[in-house]
Parts: sequence; structure tokens; C-alpha cells
Amino acid sequence: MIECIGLSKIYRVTRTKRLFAVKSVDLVIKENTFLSLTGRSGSGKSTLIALITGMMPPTEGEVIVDGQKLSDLEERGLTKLRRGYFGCIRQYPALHPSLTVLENVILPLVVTSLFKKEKKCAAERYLSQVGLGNRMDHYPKQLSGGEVRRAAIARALIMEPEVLIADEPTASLDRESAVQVLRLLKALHMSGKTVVVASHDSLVENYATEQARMESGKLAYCGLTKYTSGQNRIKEAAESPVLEQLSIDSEQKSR
Amino acid sequence: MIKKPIDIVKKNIVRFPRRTLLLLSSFMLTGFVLFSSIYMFQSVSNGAELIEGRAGADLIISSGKFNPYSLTGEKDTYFNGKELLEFLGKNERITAVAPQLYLETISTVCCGTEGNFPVVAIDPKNDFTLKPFQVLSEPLGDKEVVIGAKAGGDRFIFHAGDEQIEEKVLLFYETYTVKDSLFQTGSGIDDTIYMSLPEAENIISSPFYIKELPKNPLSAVFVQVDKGETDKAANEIEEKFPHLHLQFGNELKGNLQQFLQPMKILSFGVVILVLCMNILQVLTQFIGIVNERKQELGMLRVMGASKWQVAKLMLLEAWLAGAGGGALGIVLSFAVFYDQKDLILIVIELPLIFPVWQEAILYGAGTAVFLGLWAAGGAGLAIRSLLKSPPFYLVQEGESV
Repeated sequence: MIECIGLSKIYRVTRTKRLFAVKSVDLVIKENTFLSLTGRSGSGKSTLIALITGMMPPTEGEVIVDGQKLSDLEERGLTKLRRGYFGCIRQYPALHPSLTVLENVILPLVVTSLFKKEKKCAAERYLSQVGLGNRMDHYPKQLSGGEVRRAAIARALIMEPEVLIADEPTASLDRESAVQVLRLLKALHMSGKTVVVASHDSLVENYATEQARMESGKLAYCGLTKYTSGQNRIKEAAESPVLEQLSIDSEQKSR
Repeated sequence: MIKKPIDIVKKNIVRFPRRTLLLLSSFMLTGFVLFSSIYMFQSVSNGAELIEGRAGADLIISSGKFNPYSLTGEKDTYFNGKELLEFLGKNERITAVAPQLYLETISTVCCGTEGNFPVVAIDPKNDFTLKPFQVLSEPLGDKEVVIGAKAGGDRFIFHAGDEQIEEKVLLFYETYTVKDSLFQTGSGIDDTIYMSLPEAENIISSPFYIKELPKNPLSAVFVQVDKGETDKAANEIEEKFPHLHLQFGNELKGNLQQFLQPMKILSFGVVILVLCMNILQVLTQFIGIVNERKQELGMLRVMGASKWQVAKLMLLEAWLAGAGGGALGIVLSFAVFYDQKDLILIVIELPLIFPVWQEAILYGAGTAVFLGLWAAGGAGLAIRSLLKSPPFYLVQEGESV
């Protein structure tokens, strides 16, 4: 569980001018939640996500992850948290252009010297799950925008995070690709992951179980979505081949 | 398939071939200058070391004060050397004896070079004073001479070893073949013509030689003594031959060090200047590289890589470029030294003894490793400020580039 208490972030714009990017946000993200964090561009979504994941310190307030205050953690602790607890997906996933899709997925393992042979199989499995099983040997420039996002999701999954956090994962994608990415995230949520998606696109709300809306750095709304009662949408997500595969995986795991 | 961080580094190096080429070229030039300076400096030091001790002599015996600047054995006073040589031969402290006899300074033409050249006789079998400076190191026979670099040696060196071309010199109405030339030493050796003592005896006994000399004449004897035994040996010689003058080889050191000081300063100055230029270049390049890869490096931090793990990628990349480029420059420099050895000796009018190849490899490896670390240091400075920023800023800034 992630708790944000009185979270604020002030950016220094000029010597005298300050900007409240996030202002006194109180938010609780329970386990196995699909939270959509929506709002217009500049409303503070990305900053809030960065604060939650320990990618930068807040000006005020506290983030508590599974009972652990982030402010108590030193650099090593924060690195460990980013490595094992959070899996981040960004609008520009910055795939390494000289590495194949498969190599890009295992990149975090290689850099952190955690790479083992069996991890390659895991990477291949994740790529198959995101529908890129036949594109493993391709280079990022040979992929479409949607495929790049899906590769980034596979890369985030390789570290086996408990929480997947995606910042604008559907931005600059066509409707069909955006839906594919969201379905994938939904499927991952259905398989037991906590998913947080920040987006200016209200389409995300259709897949989320909870939603929070940001306005000028403040949390304007926080609550359940219509989705939680809309069984037809769950059915829609459940029918996706990706979810079927994930369900099989999770069943195998539980056995 | 990448498995280790070094695999990513290799991919990064080939990712921008032009930039890598520039980086390698920059380090190649630095490696060339640095290694050349070290190699040259060491060569001069080796040469100086030999001359410092009068080419290894611990004691110099003559009938009057020996002129340390001449370094030729030239001395117009003589003594009967037979008894001295016998005494030295029996003395257990003494390891080597090289007698010399100055005959005359002759105005002649040697290898097309006109001048006044002192003619000195040496014992080719036992002489140790000239061996380090010899080009061919061939034994000196009848009617053969060895010449200093300025006594026509500059010309001789161009066809050294060529049996088809023979240089001749007329001395005491006899024609002598130039058998060998000496490297430039920056001393009186460079002007001198050397022949063997038996040959000198023939000249002395000929009617053309008018100078009156004692029996078994010698003008100087250079002596090598067991380590730590110099004073004892000197005392014994002085006791036995009180009329002879003894000089210790290390007395010449101060003068030579003074002579080499400007070169040392110049050499260090050039090295420091080149390194400063190089580090500025490395910083400029790596600040550019780091800025360009901000997003990529930031993402690695977001995905759980520590500051050190991210820095390691850049440092390894710089190390490879530095050591690799440096190694190319070192090989090039060594090739130039090897191929143009004679030309360098002629151009640089200093005593040069090139290091042996094992020593050269050691200097080369040391220089390459140093350049690798130097490059990594530069890259480290470039990435230092970047790693201080929280990962979010890196990613944000990278995305906005």
C-alpha cells in the first residue's frame, strides 16, 4: 500500500517565483488497484508520480510505501525501491537504439548486474505477453509507437515489480494502439499487479478501478470508477489473449 | 546478446562511429606525444647515466687532471701504462679496465666531413666506454676506425651495415676504413676517431710520427670497480702510483644534470600541456555525450540502477576510448622511433640510449593504462553533476532535449 500524506512539491521557476506543482495531496493506493490519475497537462500528475516512486524528494509531506517512509530511506534504499517495487513506464520509454527489443528488456538486469540465463527466458515470455514475441530481434526504430510502449511495459516487468506506474503511456498513440496498451495494463492488473496510470486521456478511466483527478497541483477528485461495477468491461479485458496468457502464468505460479 | 555492462559499453562505442573515431584520434595523439616524451626522456636519461659515470667508469686514471668536458681520453700528457695495467689486472676489486691513448688531433676529411679530429686508440676487446654508443657493435680490426657522430658519423649512419659502400679516412699517411659510427652523445666523443691500440703502436713506431712518448704510452685508463669498493681501490692505486691522477666518475654528474635540466623542464611542460588540452577535450566531448544521453541514463536510474552502476557505463566507455586510442598512439610512436632511430639520433644532438623492448612495453602499457584512467577521470567529472540530480529531473530534461 502506498500512502501520500500532505504531499507538496514546489519548483523554483526564477529567483523569486515559485510554482506549486503538487499541493497538499493526500492519496492512498491500495494493493491490486488500477488507479487512473487524470488531469490536464501541467496539472501535476507526472510530479506526483515522481514523488510516489522516490524519483525526487517532496518539498513537504510524506510518502509511505508498505509502512516505510521514503524520507527515511537513503539513496541506496530508494534505488532498491525503484529496482524491485516500482516498475516505471514513461511516454518516451528511451529504448536503447543499438539494442534489440529483447536486449532492451533485459537492460535493467544487465546494468544492475542481476542478469542470469533464466532471465532471458522471462524476458522472452514478457515480450510474448505484450504481443512482441515475433519482434524480439527487431531494433526500436523498426517498431511502431504502440509497440515501443509495449516493449517498455515488458522492460518494466522484467524487474518483477509489485506496482506498475505508467506516465502518459498512451500519449501520441492512435486510438487502437492506446487501447492495446491499456488492455495490456488492465490484464496485468487482473493478474495481481497494482497499476497506476497518469494520463490526460480520459480513456484510462474506462479501465481503472479507482480514479484520481488532478487540477492545478491539487487532488480534485478521488474515488471508485464506474468500471468497478461494469462487469462487461472486465469481460472485455478478460477476453484479450494477453490476459489469457497471464492468467495461465499466474495459475502455474500458484500451483 | 548483452550479458554484462561492458557489452552495453561496446554497443555505445559503435553506436556513434564518427564520434568514437574523433575520441580515439584525440587519445591517439595524446598517447603518441606522451609516449614519445617518456621514451625520449628515458633514452636521454639512459645516455646521460652512461656518460655521468664516464660510460660506466668508476675511476679515471691519467697523468694530470682529466678534462671532464672532453670525455674523449684526449690528454696531451702520457705515462707508462704497462705496470699500471698489470697492477689493475691483478686487483680483485677491479672488474674492467679500458686504456686509451690520445695520438694527435688531425686535420682531415672523414666520410666527406672536413675538420680537426682527435685520434684516440682504445683496446677494442676490453673497452666499455664506447659500446653503448656503437651503431653496429662490430669488432675493430686492422686499418679500421670507429668515428664519432660529428666526425662524419652523420653520413656514415645512412649506409651503416651496407657492405657495398665503404667510407675511408686518411690518418698518418695511411688509409683507414670506417667500420662503425657512434651515436650522438653530445660530448667530445662525437668529434673523435677511434682506432685499436695495436694500430696506434704501429703509428708510433713509424718514422712519420714525431711526438715523443714514453714506453707503453697511455693517456687515460678507465676503470670499473666492484660496488662499494671504489674508495679502497682508489687508495690502493694512489698508494702504488702516487704520480698518477685519479678522478671519480660520479664527479661529472652535476655538470650533465645541469645540461639536461632545460630539456627535462621542456619535456614535462609539453606533457602537462598536452594532458591539459586532452582533458578539456574529453570534458567537452563527454559533457556532450552525457547531455545527449540524459534521458537514457535517467531511465536507467528510474529502473533501479544505482548512481555508480550508471557512472560505470560512462567511465568504462571513456576508459576504453582512452586506453584504446592511447595504445594506437603508443604503437605509432614506437614504430616511428624504431623506423627513424638514426634520423632521431642525428636531429637530437643529445646522448640517446633507447630503452630495451621489455622496458618499452612497460612504458607503453603504463601510458595506455594512465590514459584510460585519465579519460575515465574526465568522463567522471562530466557525469558527476548529472548524477547529483534526482532521476526525475534527468528524465524530464532528457525528454525535453
